[in-house]
Amino acid sequence: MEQVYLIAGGAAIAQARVDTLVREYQTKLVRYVRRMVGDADTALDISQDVFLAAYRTLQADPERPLTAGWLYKTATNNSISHLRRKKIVRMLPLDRDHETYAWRIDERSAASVDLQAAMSKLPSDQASAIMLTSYAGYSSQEAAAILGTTSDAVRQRVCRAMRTLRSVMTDY
Amino acid sequence: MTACNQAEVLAGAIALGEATDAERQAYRGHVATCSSCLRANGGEHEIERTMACVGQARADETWDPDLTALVREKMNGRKRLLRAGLTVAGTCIAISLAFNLAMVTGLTKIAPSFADPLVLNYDGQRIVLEHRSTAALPQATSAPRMVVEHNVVTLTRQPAAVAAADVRAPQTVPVTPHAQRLVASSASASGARSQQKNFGDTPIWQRGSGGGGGNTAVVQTTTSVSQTIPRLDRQTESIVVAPAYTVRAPEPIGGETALTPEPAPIAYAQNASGTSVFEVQIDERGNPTKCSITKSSGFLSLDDAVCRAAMKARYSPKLVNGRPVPGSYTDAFTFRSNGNGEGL
Repeated sequence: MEQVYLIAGGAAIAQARVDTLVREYQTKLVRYVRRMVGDADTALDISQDVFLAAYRTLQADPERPLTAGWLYKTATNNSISHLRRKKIVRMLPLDRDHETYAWRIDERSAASVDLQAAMSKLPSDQASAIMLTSYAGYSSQEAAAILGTTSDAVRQRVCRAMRTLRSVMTDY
Repeated sequence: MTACNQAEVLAGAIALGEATDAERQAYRGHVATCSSCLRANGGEHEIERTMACVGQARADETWDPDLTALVREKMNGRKRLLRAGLTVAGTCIAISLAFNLAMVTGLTKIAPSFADPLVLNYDGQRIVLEHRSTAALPQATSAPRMVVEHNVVTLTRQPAAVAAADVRAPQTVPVTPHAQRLVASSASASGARSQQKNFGDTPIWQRGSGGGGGNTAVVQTTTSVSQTIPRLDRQTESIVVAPAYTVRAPEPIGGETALTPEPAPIAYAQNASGTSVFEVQIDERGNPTKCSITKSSGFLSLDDAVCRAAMKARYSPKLVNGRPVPGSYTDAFTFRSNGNGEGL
């Protein structure tokens, strides 16, 4: 019976911690994921999965420290996996306004449109580097820790992403 | 790292606002001499202006979805799933334990499908088949099993003795010697007389005494069984079963009705009737090799018809522990005449 209580207690602790994580990071995370995958609905799905992954992890070990970096790392990996799948299977939206709907949130902001136009052209490693640093606010060292690379590599990716962004901006 | 790659790192540091004065100086020095890098990345101010777009996009963000309820619902769903899984697993374990307990304590036994008189006893190192009673042994049936009507002659097929029925049935355990004795006695002349009594309403075998000494001969009809029964090893009517010893007697392919004797026309003219007991030798491939009449009906035409039918049929061979061996098949046909031979 003691073990049952332990399990129940572990689940409760995990749930409480995930609730806190959701409240604190959900906005930043869904915005980040939406920039990565370019679609609002997919971003919501991936973000949910990230928090559920956090719940599973905390269920196994309720005391494990889960940082924002862990969330972003999981979100980045999930987004990259999604983008890889998307290359194989092209999802055709049922309604013609789907594209518009995905952009409606930011359509008044020229900067946002430019950024997303550049993002759609970037390879996933450059996209994650520039999003984690300039958009999510991490330093190149922190982003390097999340992406499992060096800070110089992050800076180089940011530079190359910036080149694409620059070319998009000069196109208009 | 080449100078241009290094310049990319420096430009990235400038874009992120992390570049030190020395790094800015280094970048400036590189683009002063490298026009391709200057063209690709732009100068310091251009980099900062481009990156300001990202900052502006972030500031313009208004999307603020609420995932709290959705994530909580999914977490609870996962908990329910886990609880249901644990319940199912617990139920399975409980059922398994209960079954094992029942088996160990003897509440449930998987009884062998032997006939009732045979009881399995564990006697030290051996399992013995003990014979308790002969009451439940199958008795000869008096009802005719097949009636062949042909013009004026009625051919009624009837089992000759218990032995024939026993031999036909697939046997998975050795027959006890007691049963063997019973079989032998029922196949004897007195057994035949008791069958006559059962057929009291029809005049059978009235002319049978004129045949080749059929009524007086004690007929061994259990050839296949008696050849394979292990000897008694002690007086208590028990035999050692281990190792497993299985005998399957030969039988006609298509069942008993596969044998259809067709008596010659002379038999009808003679109002022939009687019982022919025959024995067919069957090789390991199921082919009949020899037919002999062990009890004549008294009419050559009937006996001949029986043997011709028996030799025409195909049989499944006798199997001892699954291996085909030569054996024999015994059965009997009873011919009944209605006494009207005018049609022939």
